[in-house]
Amino acid sequence: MGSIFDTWNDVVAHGGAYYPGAGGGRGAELTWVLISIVMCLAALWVGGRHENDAYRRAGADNLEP
Amino acid sequence: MEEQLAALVAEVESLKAAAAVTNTMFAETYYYVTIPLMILIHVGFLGYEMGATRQKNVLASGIKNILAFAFCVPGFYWVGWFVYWAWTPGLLPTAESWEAGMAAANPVGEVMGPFLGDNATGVFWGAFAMFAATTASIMSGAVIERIRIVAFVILAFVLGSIAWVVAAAWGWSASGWLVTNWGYHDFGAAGLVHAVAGFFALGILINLGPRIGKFNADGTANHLAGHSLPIVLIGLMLIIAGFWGFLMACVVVPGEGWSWYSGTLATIYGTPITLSALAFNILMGFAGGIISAWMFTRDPFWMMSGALGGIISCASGLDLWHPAQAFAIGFIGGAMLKPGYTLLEKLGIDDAVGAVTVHGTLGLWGVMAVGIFATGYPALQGGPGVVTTSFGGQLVGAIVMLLLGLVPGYVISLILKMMGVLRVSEGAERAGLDPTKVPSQAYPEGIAPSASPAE
Repeated sequence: MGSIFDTWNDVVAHGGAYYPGAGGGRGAELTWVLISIVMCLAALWVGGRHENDAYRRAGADNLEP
Repeated sequence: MEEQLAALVAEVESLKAAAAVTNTMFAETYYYVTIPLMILIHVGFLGYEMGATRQKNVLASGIKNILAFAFCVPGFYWVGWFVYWAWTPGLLPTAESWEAGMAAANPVGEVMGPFLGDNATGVFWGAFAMFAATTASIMSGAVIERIRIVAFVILAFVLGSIAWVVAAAWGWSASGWLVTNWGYHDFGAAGLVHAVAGFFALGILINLGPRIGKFNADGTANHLAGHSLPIVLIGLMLIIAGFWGFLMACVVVPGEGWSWYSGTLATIYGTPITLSALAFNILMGFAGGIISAWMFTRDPFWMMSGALGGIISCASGLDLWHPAQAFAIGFIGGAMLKPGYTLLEKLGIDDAVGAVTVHGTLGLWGVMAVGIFATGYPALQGGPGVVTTSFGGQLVGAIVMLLLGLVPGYVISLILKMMGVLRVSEGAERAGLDPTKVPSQAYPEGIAPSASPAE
C-alpha cells in the first residue's frame, strides 16, 4: 500500500505517479475508488434513515413552529 | 569565437528551458486560482439560498447546499471528467473517444492523481468540478423548503456528473458534435451550465410541487418571503465575484503542449480571446442586467438577479461582443426576469429563487443572442471553410441544452416521487425542517421583524 520507491531522484528526474500504490497496476486506485463510492453510499443510507425517522416523528408529534 | 557561440547557444537553451518552466507554473497557477474564485460562487449560493428561506428552514437549506457541493466533487471525479472526454461524438462514445477518455480522465488510472510531469490534469479537473458543483447549486435554490436531502443528492449527482457534462462534451469541446457539425458557440456556458441546470430544476419542480401556502385555491400565488433579503443580496454579489473565476477558467492559456496557441489566449474551441475582452463584457452585461431590473421592478432581489442574468445573457458570446452590445443584451435579459418568473407562477410552478428564469430562460437567451447578433464567426480554429456560428446552429444547441436539462430532471425526480422519497412529509414541512431534523438553531435568540415594504 505504501511507496514503491525509496528515493525521490528517479521520480523527480523522469516524472510519474507517486501516490501510495502508484505503479503497481490498477489495484490500488480501483480499491480506493470503490471505497470512496461505498462511503458516499453509506452516508446517503444513514442520512436517509435519519430523515425518515425525523419525518415520522414530525408527523406523529404534529410539531408546530 | 566558436567557444563563445557554443556558450551563447547554451545560454539561449537555458533561458528557453527557464521560460518553459515559468510558463508551465503560470498555467498551473492560473487554473488553480480559478478554483477558490469559483468557491465564492458557492459561498454566494449558500447565502442566497439560506436568505431566501424562511426562518424555520434556514439550516436545512444550508445543509442541502453544502451537500450539493460535497457530493458533486467525488461524483465528478468518478464519472463526470471521463464523460466530458469520452462523450463528444453524440449519444454514445466511439472507440476513439473512449480511448481519449481513458487517456485523460480514467479515475483508476495514474493520470487522475499526483503525477510529476503532469501539471494540468488536476487543475483542469478541479475547475470543471467547480462548474459541476455550480449546476447543482443552481438547481438547489429552486427546490428549497420541501425536497428530501437524499433525493436532492441523487438529483445533484445526475445533474453535476452526467447531464451538464454531456452538454459540455457536445457543445464545449472542439471535438463536440454540436460544435463540429453546427458551429455551436457557448464560450461562457450560458447553455451548457445555466440552461441545463435551470431546466433540470424545472423538471424537478413539476414533480416536486409547490410549497404549502404558495398558491391559493383559486390558483393565485402568495409571496413566501425569505427571512433575510440582505443575505440574499450579499450572496448574489458573491456569485458575481465568483463568476470571474468561472469565466477565467473558460480560457485556454498559451504556450503549453495542450495549448491552442504559443502566444495567444484561446477559448475552449481554439478561437482567440483576451482577458480584456472578458473584463469589458462581463462588467457591461452585469450593469445592463441590474439597470434593467431596477427599471422594471425597483426590487433589490430582482436587481441582483438581474446582475446575474445580465452576465448569463452575455455569456455565450463574451469573447465576441462589443461592450455596449453586451450591455444591451444584459439589459434585455434583465427585462425578461420578472415576466418569466410570473409566467411560471401562473403555470403553478413554485421556483423559490427564480432559478428557472435566471439560469434556464436567460441561458437560452444567451445562446440565441449569438445566433442573432454574432453569426458567421469561424466556430473553430482553422482555415477557410471551417464551420461558422449561425442562428440555426445556436437554435439546435438551445433545444439540445433545454432537453438535456428538462428530461433527466423530470424523469429522475418522477422515479423518486413514485418511490415516495422526493418530498418531505407534510408535518415536517409545516413544522419546519430545522426543528424536525437539524440538531442546531440558526437564530437561537430570534430576529426582530423589519419595516413594511414601500410597495
